[in-house]
Amino acid sequence: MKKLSELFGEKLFVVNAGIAMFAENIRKAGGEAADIEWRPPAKGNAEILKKIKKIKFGTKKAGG
Amino acid sequence: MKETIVVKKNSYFDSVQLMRISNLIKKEKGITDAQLIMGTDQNKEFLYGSGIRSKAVDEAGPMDLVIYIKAEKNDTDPEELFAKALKKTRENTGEAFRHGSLEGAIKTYPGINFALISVPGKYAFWEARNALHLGLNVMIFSDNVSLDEEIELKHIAREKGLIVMGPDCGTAIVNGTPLAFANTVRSGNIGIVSASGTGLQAVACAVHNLGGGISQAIGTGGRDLSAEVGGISAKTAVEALCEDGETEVIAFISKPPDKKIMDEITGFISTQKKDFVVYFIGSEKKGRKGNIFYASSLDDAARIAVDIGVMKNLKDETAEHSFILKERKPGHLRAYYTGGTLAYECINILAKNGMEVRSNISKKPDLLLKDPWTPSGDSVIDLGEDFFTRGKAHPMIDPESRIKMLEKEALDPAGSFIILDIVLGWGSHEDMAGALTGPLKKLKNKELFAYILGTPMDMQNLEEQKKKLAAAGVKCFLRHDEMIFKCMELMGYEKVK
Repeated sequence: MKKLSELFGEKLFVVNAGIAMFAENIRKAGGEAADIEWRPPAKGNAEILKKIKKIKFGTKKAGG
Repeated sequence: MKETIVVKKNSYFDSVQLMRISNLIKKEKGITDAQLIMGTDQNKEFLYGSGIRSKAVDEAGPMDLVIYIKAEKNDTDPEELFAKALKKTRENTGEAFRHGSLEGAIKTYPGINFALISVPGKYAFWEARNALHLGLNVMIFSDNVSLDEEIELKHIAREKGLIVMGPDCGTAIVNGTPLAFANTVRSGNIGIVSASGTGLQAVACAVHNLGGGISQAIGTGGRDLSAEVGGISAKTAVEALCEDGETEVIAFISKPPDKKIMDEITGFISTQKKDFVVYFIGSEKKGRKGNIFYASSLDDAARIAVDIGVMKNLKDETAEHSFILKERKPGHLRAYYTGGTLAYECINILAKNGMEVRSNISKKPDLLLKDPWTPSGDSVIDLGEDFFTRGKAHPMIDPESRIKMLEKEALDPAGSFIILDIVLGWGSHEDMAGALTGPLKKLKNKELFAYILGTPMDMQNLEEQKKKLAAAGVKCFLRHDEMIFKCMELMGYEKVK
């Protein structure tokens, strides 16, 4: 994990979830980017998502 | 003529891919129209509004692809057309291997240190939360993320020492890497923190065009400086730039923030050793207070930053311009912007000089346009606003809504002064000037103005864009405020200082 200030000066390597053009453009500009074949998590089922979130991230924050 | 609608279940494509695919299908012989949308309620409303209806469309969900084709012949197969166009777009864009998840991508590339998220807003929280869990700094391009989700994400990031830029963060430049809609600018010693996307782009380009360079340009998302969010990302960004050895001057751009947050931020930056140029768009703050220099426009902010950071000699503090009305020339002003902040700044400059401007983004109910497609009196239209972008790519990529507006202008003698923004850079249309010259040439007896937001290093070729616009009779400017001042002079206003 790199804090933002530690990230400055390093080469950025971006993981891109969503609009594929953004990763294309980073590569065209000489940067590094990996693409995600994005699909809605848990097939978009809100109830299942809530359960996964609880297991994965805990419930430390409000709404979490 | 045959109209066909096909719905492909669980086939997610982003708006830019769909625009590219539908453009290719429209070029096929015998095809008169093609509309490709994901089946969200907003997008379906757009289809219904165009008279396209079917049971399959009614039943389509947000992750289902709706393909509508209108063809001259009856034997047209929409799925075949779609598959062919998809293959071609993938060949054209050199689309790379795609990983199944953030975790999968990091396993393959352990060097990944940043996540850019532009999935539908409903799911952006989930992906951003996961990215933070994986220790990544995050930029959320997506809009429609709830305020509660934004607050939760930013608190988690802050605890971890990470940043969440956004949601609705349209642009950033980190370590020279352009993120989403960003321009190619020289590296240098000026850092930017901005709650406004086009504001960040405009200042970065103006710095470049004045001979300066950018160290980092960090977007925060438009709601970051609200009382509810508390400026969490702005604080993280300012702290990081204060620690950064490359950054000497920091430009801070935002609409006027919540008073308490503004006091907190200015209180913090006033104790720093570095100089800050602050532009709260539309605010009356001016002059210098210790290490804080207040600017009067996006271009003024860039000018002060370059004067301090590069020339080491500040010529003037806030450069303000005021106008008085001498004799108003006939005809109204009509501005068609793709950049929301530019539209906002334009309204503010005009209003400050006594003009009453109608707009689809006006905060004053009596000046809010009821139908954004129909300007009246002096009007400034933000074409990037939700009303215009439902089911469509952003107007910086897709010129359709602006072409439609210009075609209406050609038939309307009321509008005599036409303003446009042409935003260059990564993500934007590769030849916006070329796309607009046809409709622009049909505008007779009107004064045409364009602010070109870009640098000579942008991939669109700034000089070529200028030439194409000039050939269509457009006066081109690389400074946004200067374009508005020139337009006001031609409308009959006189500069008094």
